[in-house]
Amino acid sequence: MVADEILLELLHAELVNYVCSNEPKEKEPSGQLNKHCNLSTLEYFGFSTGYKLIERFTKDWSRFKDELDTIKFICTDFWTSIYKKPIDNLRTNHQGVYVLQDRAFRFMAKISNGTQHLDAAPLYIAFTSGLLRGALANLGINSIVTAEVQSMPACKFHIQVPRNQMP
Amino acid sequence: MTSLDRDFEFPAELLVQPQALVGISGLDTLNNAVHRAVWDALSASRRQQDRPPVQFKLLAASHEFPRPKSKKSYDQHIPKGILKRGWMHKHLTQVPSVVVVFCDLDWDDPQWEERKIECVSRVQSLREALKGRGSRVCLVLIQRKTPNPAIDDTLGTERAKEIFQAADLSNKSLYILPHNEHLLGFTAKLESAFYDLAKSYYQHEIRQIKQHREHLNKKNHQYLYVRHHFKIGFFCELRQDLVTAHCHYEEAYNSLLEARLLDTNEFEVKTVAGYISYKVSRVHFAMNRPRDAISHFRAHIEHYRHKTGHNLLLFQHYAWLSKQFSMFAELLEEMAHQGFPSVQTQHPGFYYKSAAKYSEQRKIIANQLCKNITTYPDPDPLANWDKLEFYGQRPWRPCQLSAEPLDPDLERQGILAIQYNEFHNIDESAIIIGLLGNAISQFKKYKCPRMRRHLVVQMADEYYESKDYGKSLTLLTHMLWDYRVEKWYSIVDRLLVKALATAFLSAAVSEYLTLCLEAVSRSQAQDAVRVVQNLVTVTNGGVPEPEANLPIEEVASAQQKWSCARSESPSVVVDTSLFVPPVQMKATIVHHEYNSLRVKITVRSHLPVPINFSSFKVCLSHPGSQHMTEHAVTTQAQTLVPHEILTFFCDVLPEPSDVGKIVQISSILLAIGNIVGRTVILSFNGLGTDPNSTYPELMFFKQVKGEDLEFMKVKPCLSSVISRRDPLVSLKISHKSPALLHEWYPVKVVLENHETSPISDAFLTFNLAQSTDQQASQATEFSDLNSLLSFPVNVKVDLNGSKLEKCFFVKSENLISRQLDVRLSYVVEGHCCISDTVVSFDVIEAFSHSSKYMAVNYDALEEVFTSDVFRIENKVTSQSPWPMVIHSAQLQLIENVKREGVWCYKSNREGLVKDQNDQDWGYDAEPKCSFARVTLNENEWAVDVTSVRASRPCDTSSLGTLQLTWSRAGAEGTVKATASAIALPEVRVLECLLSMDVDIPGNGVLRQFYPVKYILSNHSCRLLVLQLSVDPSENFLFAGPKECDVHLQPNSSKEFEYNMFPLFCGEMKLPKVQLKSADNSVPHLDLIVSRALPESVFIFPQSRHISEPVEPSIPAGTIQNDIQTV
Amino acid sequence: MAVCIAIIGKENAPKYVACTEKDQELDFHYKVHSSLDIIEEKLSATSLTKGTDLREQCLGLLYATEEHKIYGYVTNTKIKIVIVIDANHTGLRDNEIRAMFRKLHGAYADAVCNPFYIPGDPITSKKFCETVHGLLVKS
Repeated sequence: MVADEILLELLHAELVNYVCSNEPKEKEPSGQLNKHCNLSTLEYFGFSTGYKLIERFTKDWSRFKDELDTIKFICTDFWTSIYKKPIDNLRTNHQGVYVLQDRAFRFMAKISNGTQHLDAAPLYIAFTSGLLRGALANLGINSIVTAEVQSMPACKFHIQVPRNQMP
Repeated sequence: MTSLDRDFEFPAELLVQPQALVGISGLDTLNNAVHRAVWDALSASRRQQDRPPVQFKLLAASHEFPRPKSKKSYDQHIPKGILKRGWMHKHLTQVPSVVVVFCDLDWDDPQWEERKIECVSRVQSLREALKGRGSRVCLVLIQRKTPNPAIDDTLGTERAKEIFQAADLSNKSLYILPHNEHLLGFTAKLESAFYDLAKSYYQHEIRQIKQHREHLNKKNHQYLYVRHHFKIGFFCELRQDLVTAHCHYEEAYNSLLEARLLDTNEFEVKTVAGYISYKVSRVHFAMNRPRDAISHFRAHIEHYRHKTGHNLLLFQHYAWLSKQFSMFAELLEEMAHQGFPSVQTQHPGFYYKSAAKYSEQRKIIANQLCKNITTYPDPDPLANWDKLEFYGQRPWRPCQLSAEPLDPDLERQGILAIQYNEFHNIDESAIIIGLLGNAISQFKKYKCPRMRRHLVVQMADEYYESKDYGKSLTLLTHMLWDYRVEKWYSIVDRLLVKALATAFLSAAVSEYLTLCLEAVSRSQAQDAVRVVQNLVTVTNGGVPEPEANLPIEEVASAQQKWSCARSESPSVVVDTSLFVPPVQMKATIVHHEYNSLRVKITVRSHLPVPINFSSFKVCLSHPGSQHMTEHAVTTQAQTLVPHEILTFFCDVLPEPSDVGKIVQISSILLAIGNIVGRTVILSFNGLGTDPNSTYPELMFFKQVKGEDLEFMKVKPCLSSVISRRDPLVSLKISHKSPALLHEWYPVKVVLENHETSPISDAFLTFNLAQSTDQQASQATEFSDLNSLLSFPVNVKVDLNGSKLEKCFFVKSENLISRQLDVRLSYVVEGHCCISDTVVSFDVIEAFSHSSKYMAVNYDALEEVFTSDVFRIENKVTSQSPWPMVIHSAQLQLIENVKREGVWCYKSNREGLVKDQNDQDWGYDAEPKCSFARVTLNENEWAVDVTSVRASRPCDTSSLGTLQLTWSRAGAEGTVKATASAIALPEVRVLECLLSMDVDIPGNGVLRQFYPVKYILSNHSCRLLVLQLSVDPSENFLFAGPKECDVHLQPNSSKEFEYNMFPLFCGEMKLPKVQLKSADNSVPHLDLIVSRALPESVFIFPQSRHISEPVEPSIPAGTIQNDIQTV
Repeated sequence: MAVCIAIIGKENAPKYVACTEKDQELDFHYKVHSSLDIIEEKLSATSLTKGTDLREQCLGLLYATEEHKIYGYVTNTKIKIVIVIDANHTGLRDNEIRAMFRKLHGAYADAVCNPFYIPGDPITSKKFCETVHGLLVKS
């Protein structure tokens, strides 16, 4: 692998470490890697990045037809640009719920497969959840993004768009 | 629009779609019903699409038509103008193309000759009146008889011929109108006939005009080219020939373009060009070519835009331009009504807007040119304006040819008069506002809200110009709102300045104060100080400094008004959430206890100077109730210091009734000033308005520091539940889950009182939890030791002691888990205290039960027989995890089933009948059910067997119930026993005709005689003939009748004795007995035998010492009831 | 070239407006603001017809007055760019307008990634201003 491709992974890993070590110590006095730290900081970094990034990514695209069209863009071009592979599976109930499955999520690719570090998984998906939410927010889709990891490095992101708003 | 703006009005006849004029004569619509009907049929529903475009006019008999002018030679004729004012009107309403004479005349009229002559004379007199005109004359005979085309009506043909010969009419000009129910159909036909005649008339007129053309020359008769083409165009329109009409209008327009524009004719040419252009556009539209119409209009404007005319009358040029646009807008609007689709970027609004723009220019120029004109010239040069022969000519020089030199004095007077009128009699502002109003409604219609807003602003400006400050202010405040919502502050700021000036000039106190508050935040530092000072001045009852750049005379009168101006309400409430206020406020409920509610208010003032407030209040509301309370903020300082973060507190003692409910900060009110009508109250929502908080998330991006950061960190909290006083009475509940089905499940409540003050109104409340389903709630009962209670249970408790125990019982009739909400509430020191807890338990079956019917030999029975003893076995198995006690048990049998007495050990039973042989045994005639007073642990079981005999047969039914009263084992007195009734299984009781009993010893001994006696009893009332046989057996030798016929008398018995000799020891089968009925009259013989016979008998081996049998021979069917323990 | 260039945010609030004639600034503001009517109409029309070719970011000529021609452009993030051209300036071709829009969009995307910029706020970046002023006609 070329070094510049791993740069983002390393930077992200350091970001996770940094955010965890900056948590107030009194909550987790044991000193070990704080796996239950407040994820919202990471999520916010992701939101901010996604919000700004999407402006650039969609620059040369014709306007999206609808919400699904937008999500498809996120799954393919957007995802590939960041994670070097597209989303493996997209499901939707056509009621504003989208499930994006990445069977080999890049930020977890270097972690042991299976469940060895499963309890740390929320740390490694918070940024990306925020990234999705930020990107969609700037595209005019206010959403709730949650993620689920059952066995690393596979990961599922749930995007929920409240139906009262226009896509 | 003022009537004096007459120079620009378009003639009404230009604006309509011309229709052929048809004169109707000879109809007496007032006195003759038939005539009336005919007229109505002709004139009514003119607007229907399929009717020919004809205009009918009712003519009196003596009607006079305008006389045609005598034709002069064109050689010497020089036209004095372009279009004559009266011409269109004349042809639309005065010169009919066709005149129709109606006559009542039937072919067989008795006075035919006279009537014919009268008719003919009427035609002739009309023709005389129309002399010189080519108008067509025709005759309609109204007849009562409907002509029948099938019959050759020779009389009709003959007389018709007579008439049109006499009247000199062509045979196409005579019509018959039969008056019957098909009137409308006939008149419709007549109409189209008239229309055809009209068309030919107009065609004829066109030809006439065309003939003149040969005599024209371009040099002298340029105007006539215009006029002639216009006329031809108009006639073509009358005959609905739009294509040709368009050609000629276009020709007319182009001819006019060639005319040289001089001071003398400029106004006339432009006026007429406007009219013809209008016609061209109109015809374009009528031919469905809106694009051509629009481009023609554009070219028209483009051509004349710079033909400004006389310099001193420049405003008239703009008035003319404005009129062109507004007329085109009206045309476009009219066409939109007829279904021409207008689009967002091409609709009448744009033309009205341009019209308004030119009117505005007209006003500006008029003000420049005419403001010094104070006297109107005498004699009036405009006196005969309404008697002019041609369109667009100056009243002081009518019909003056363009080549002739002007009279400079007269010219000057005329211009003066126009200028005077323009300045003194014409309200241009009203024109502009009217046009803007039209434009606004169009822009609204075509979904251009923002363009509309801009126009509204212009309208507000125009109202301001015309000194209608009230209307201007209203519009400006609305627009401020709209632009503010979209954050176009560049525009907002400009509107604010204007609105503030308007509010000042109209001394509108409330608007002025509101605008000041908004303007402070939007102004530069120095201006902001001035605005705040004005605000303070106004609240102190003073007169504010005027805004910049106001006309001096207006300022003086405004200041006059200010000295006594008051707002309509005593104080002006300003909702600060609508704009970026100069003061920001965040409210946080910090305490919300029953005895103390504390609101912390963080204030940040961006006002440039400190400002004093007169009152500071927090409004609290309580959702669910209407009442709203105001609470003053306790503070010594009455000054808002700028930029610092100020903190205030408001302490409130909550009403006891509000405890436990939500309290909400509905608003925070900060008042400045305290003079009635001069006070401003700033109303805050307490969230702290953030000007750019469209996306709360984006606030993360914000980098703030210092006070801003500190203020941002304050988290508002506007609502909270007022918490109750903590109860000092403990509520503990003990119960042993699970509950048993049908059991009165004991729930013990223990209250311990640690309150120091006396308690009143203490209640225990039980209710099923909200989530309980219908099925469960219906099958639940609740009681205390004494009585049944119904949900919600509210029990008053006496809490004066330090401890109270109370037991309640819940009975569950199905197996659904239950949840009970238990609440203790009481009042102490005036405060209501509440403590809640939940009791939840599962419900399980207490025991399982099984019953079966058995014969005396314990074989299970499917059916039972009368007069036969059989047994009922009941088995009860405990499923309760807690020991359960059966307090009493009783087998309730139906009336025809009776219990049999039993033999049993004396030691087990009281009051037995003594047996004469053995002291220890007794006969219990009425045995009790043996379940009573039995205690069962989990999975333990008890069995009770009862011998019974049925007296009568009956159909399948239960033979009775097992009645148990039981409870869980435990503390006496606090237990409520449960009564359960268990139905016995259903069985059929059959009639027994014959029964067989066996009398044998309990056991036998090898090789010793074993006496066996079979007793057959006939229970019927007839003779039974049977065959009894005993099969040989290898187990026994026996003596007795091996095969015999039995005759059993009614109600008698017979015994058959056998001496058996056992050959083996152990469980031995007795020799098989068979019964046969000779005539097959007795059913179930085999069953009878097998029920009676024991399965086997036990044969002991021989002992050396032979003793008496151990047990006495007791009647079959007794067995000691027992309780087995596993 | 352009006489006025405006960047308008998602909720139609102006983020940046620049024009050549300072004294007509307010007028340009009104014009740009009014053009939002047509942009909104065009956006809703596209969502109705769902024609693929209608979903181009460049909306082309919005409307023309006697003095000006107004062109519009909408990004996927609902940022609107409006360019006002002098009506007398007839030599301008459609693809030149497009090129201007693309350049502005690029500059905007850069401005958003500027760590000192808060999305939603008016743009104050000097770099962005320079790009825009480069596109305005010099007079």
